[in-house]
Amino acid sequence: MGIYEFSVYNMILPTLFIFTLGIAYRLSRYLFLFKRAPQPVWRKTSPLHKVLALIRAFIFPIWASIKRTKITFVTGIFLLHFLGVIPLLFLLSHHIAWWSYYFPPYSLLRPLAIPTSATSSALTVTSPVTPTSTMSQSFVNTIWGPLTVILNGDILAIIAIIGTAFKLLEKFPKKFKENLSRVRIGDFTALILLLVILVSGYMATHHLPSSDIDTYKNVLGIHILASEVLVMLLPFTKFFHFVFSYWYGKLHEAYEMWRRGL
Amino acid sequence: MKGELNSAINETLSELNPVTLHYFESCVSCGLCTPHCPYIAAGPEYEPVNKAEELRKLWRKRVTAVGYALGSIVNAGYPKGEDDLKRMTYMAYRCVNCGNCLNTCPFGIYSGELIRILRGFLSSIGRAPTILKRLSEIESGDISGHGAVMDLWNSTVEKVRGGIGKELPLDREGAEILYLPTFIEAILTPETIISTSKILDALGINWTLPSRPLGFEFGIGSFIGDKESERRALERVNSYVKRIGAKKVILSHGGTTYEEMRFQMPFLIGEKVNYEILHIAEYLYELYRAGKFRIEAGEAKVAWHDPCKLRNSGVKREPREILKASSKGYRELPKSQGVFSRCCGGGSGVALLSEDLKELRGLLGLSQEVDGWEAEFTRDLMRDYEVVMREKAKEVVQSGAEVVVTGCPTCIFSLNKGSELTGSAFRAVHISHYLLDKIKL
Repeated sequence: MGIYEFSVYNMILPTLFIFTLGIAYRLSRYLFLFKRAPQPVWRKTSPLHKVLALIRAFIFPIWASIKRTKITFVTGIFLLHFLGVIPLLFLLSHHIAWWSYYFPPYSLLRPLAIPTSATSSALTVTSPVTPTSTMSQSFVNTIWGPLTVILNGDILAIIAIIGTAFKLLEKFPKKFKENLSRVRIGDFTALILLLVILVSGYMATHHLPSSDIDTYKNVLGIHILASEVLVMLLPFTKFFHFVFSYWYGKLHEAYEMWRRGL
Repeated sequence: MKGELNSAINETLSELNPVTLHYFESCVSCGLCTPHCPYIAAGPEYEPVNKAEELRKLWRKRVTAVGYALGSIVNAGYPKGEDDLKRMTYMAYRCVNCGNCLNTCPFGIYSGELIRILRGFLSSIGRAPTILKRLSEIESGDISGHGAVMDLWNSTVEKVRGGIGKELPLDREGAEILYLPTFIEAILTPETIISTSKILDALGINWTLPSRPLGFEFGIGSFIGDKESERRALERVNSYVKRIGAKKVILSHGGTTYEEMRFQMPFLIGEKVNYEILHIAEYLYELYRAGKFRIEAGEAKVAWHDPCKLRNSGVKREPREILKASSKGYRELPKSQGVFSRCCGGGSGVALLSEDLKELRGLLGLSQEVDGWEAEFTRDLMRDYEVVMREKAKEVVQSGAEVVVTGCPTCIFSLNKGSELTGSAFRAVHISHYLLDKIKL
């Protein structure tokens, strides 16, 4: 059994099982630690204020980052998250097909699918290879119109790889030169794993390093298996922010802002 | 030491609730909070996330399986010796709990809260600055019997009486408004108490004032993570307010006192309060909007500095509106305003360790002599505090303001000290003091 078959046919259920168990464990801790306490007299705020507080809670850090940490904003927030991982993960046409197979309602997002390439039926604009199948014009004629020049798998993958690589390289001087103890081994491993997923996905799409079917399957297998490792690790690592911590943190902050009248 | 350490860790981690759990385990170390911390000016190691990491190391070792098994490989561990303790203490006291880390964190993590818990852990193993520890101990009881506390308080009350020109309504039960100045204000900014009292009297309000100081800051224990002291101090204040039966409590201390009274008190004393707590800036704005007085407008080049605890409690618009009405020359501080306002650097007890307050500490009967780690620690902390004050002073100079109005005695002390250190011409005053001769009936 090859790595592709192993990742697709053997690892899906264990991955989901560990992920679900991990999430249940993490969330249960929040529930068990909750206890009621007498409350202060909070400020009375209007529904509009509450909506604005919610928006502010999400916007403030981004605004603060644009003002004071421009490089981090461009690489870590904009390239890695907004333009890289988020649209790739949820909207790349291959991924929509994958998600839809396991969760059919996801196919509703098909009209928003992002193609691999911007301009032609060739697999790429950056690394031309002979296509292995005929691709119709309608494939690249997406709802994104001219935005497809940016919103295509090639560009987004490269952007995400640049963003991730920058964040990874940035950690070294912080750890070894500035000696900041907050930079941990988990920061490196998480980014390396993400980089493996991005690079292997890009390579599989372009049939790299060679176009024979076994190599393709192995590279794609690495891509899927590494993604499964990430999903399994997700509840126990910083990737948890993606499904819970970020949303909990922002909603709690907005709730505090409502109550304090911020 | 091991037993003491274990019990300190257990006590520290007993504070866990869903929110602190989130603070502990959700940081991705992105560093977006870094440039917004006032103490980053003193060194790159003082970024909020790096300071909070000191507590997270303990937490990982005690709570997580990976931390327990792999220890330092995954940044988990207990302090092993003097070097570790020194580093932890330095980190813990380069934080003024201003909340900028929370306002700029993409995950809503309040590193300052973790650093406050770290201070509590350090106190449990005997690493709290002696002065703060003594103040916390004294405030857990009645402070008026210590040193020259009553002499100083009576002297301030006498000045208020002299300023108003009639007997003061001390401890008047049934008064609608209770003005609660802190003892720290009597030391650092007595003119604030005098001005606030004169304004309340001039407005013809049914008000009262305590004849004895109820506390240094009404929760000074929070500076060293001493919750028991905080609780006792706030219980005493709450009992007094209930005895007076006031509907509104007015504070002129917009720092820790405001936060403790306004938001932390019910959690700490386990009781919901049924009176309103307002800063004088909020109260005056309320009266101004209701047309109870008008403000004589001038041309002064004036700016508002947001005390961190006021801005994090939603008090931003009120003082600005009043100051704009008072002067056509009002301007904002250029680099940081409103919710991102940069702190003065003296909060969370840092200013109280200043050499400038040595004489006053002597009057309180506090020992001035510190040795060993604490002597070096205090000297280095004051050096870094100066760096932060200078940074803030530069910002004020850049604004062109001649007067910086604020609402907290620590901010006034730090801003004026910063002005002195940088040879600047601006001065900082309390909003009550600034408005005293501008309020017209």
